Parts: sequence; C-alpha cells; structure tokens
Amino acid sequence: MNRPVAGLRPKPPVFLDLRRIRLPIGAILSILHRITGVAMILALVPLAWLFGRSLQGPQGYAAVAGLFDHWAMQGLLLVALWGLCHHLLAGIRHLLIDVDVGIEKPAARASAWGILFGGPVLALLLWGMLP
Amino acid sequence: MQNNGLKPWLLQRLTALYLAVWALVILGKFLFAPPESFAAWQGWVGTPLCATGFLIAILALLGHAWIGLHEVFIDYLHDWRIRISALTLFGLLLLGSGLWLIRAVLSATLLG
Repeated sequence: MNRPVAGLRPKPPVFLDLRRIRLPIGAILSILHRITGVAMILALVPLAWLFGRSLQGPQGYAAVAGLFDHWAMQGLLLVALWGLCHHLLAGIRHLLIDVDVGIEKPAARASAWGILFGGPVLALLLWGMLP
Repeated sequence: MQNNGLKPWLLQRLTALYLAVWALVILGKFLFAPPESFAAWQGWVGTPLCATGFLIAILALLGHAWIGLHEVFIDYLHDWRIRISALTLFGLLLLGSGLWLIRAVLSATLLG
C-alpha cells in the first residue's frame, strides 16, 4: 500500500512510542554525542567567564581557584569531564569509522559499549588525578 | 554552507582533530604541571606558542560548535522560525563567549 499514487504522497509511518522504541547501542552513543556537544556549548558561557576572570589578575585567579575548591564545583567538573571524555572518545570512533576502521558491526558495537562505560571511568580517573 | 554538504563535513572533522589535540594539551598541563600562581598561569597562557594554540582552538571551537548545532537543529527543529531563533540565540552565545575567550588570551599575551 506504500506505492505512490499519482498526486497522493504516502504518509510516512510514525512510530514514537517511547516505551517500545529499542535503540541500538550505536544510536544511543550518537544521541549522547549530540547531547554532550550541545551541553558543552551551553557550558562555554560560564567557562569563558571563568577563564577570563582567572587571567584578570591575582585576585581573579584566587577567586576562580577558590570556586574550584567548593564541592558543588567539583561535582560540575566531574560531569563536564564526562561530557568531554564521551564526546572526545565518540568523536575519535566516528573519525575512525569514517576511514573504515572498526566499521564492521561487531567491532562498531564493541567500541560503542566501550565508550559508553569507558567515558565515565576515564572521567573519574582524570577527576581523581586533577589537583 | 547550505549548498554543499562536503565543506562543513570536512571542516567539522579538521576542527575535531585540532580540538582533540588541544584538549589533551590542556588536560596534560593540569595533570602534570598545574599552575601554582597567577603569574605562572598568565605566563603559560601568554607564551606566543600557547597563545597562538589557544586562539586557533577558540576559532576551531566556534566553527565546530556552529556546524554541530546546525546539524542538530535541522534534525529536531522543523519549524523554520523556531530553528532560526535557536540558531540566532546559540550563535550569539558562541560569539560572545568566543570574543571573551580571545580577549582573555590576548590580555595574557600583552600584559604577561
């Protein structure tokens, strides 16, 4: 019934039942790549302000350093590090797949799972190592 | 940019490569040689090599973010009025942040 009839365009099927949609792991990775990308753009505003403040003078530098001593800021830093790690790792995977590395389905699925779980682990590791 | 999909596609990947390298530079700096004082921090950012790297990274970031936003908004915002409004809003955010970052890097070079 989907054959186009002259003058009549077949309606594309719409399937948006969130409880029944099963996303493949690659799609989840891709959506997270987009979410982390847009979130980091939003984070750029306070980040630019912090960067500017830290370079304004010894007082500004001390104020920013003091902010990072606060637990809430450390929490935000951890989330930001996860976003960066995920976006960076998924981006590298994307570039490799562009040049046909890891493009086979099992390899692509394995790397996607690796990044999904490796991102938070790497973020925690970096967070713990940062001064 | 709208006529030909190849140019933004390539630009997105070139900026991605540069930003990946620069992200590692900054992470490495804070992991292995964190600045101990304002003077040290300003001195590091203000080094000609580092300041140039920062300025290129800021431009790459703005381009990378803009192309990515464009792609995401085309997929999810179907009403052109909403899409144009969102792109304008985010464009201004990016431009403002970018200019602020450039100003900070230049101040470290010129004053440091």
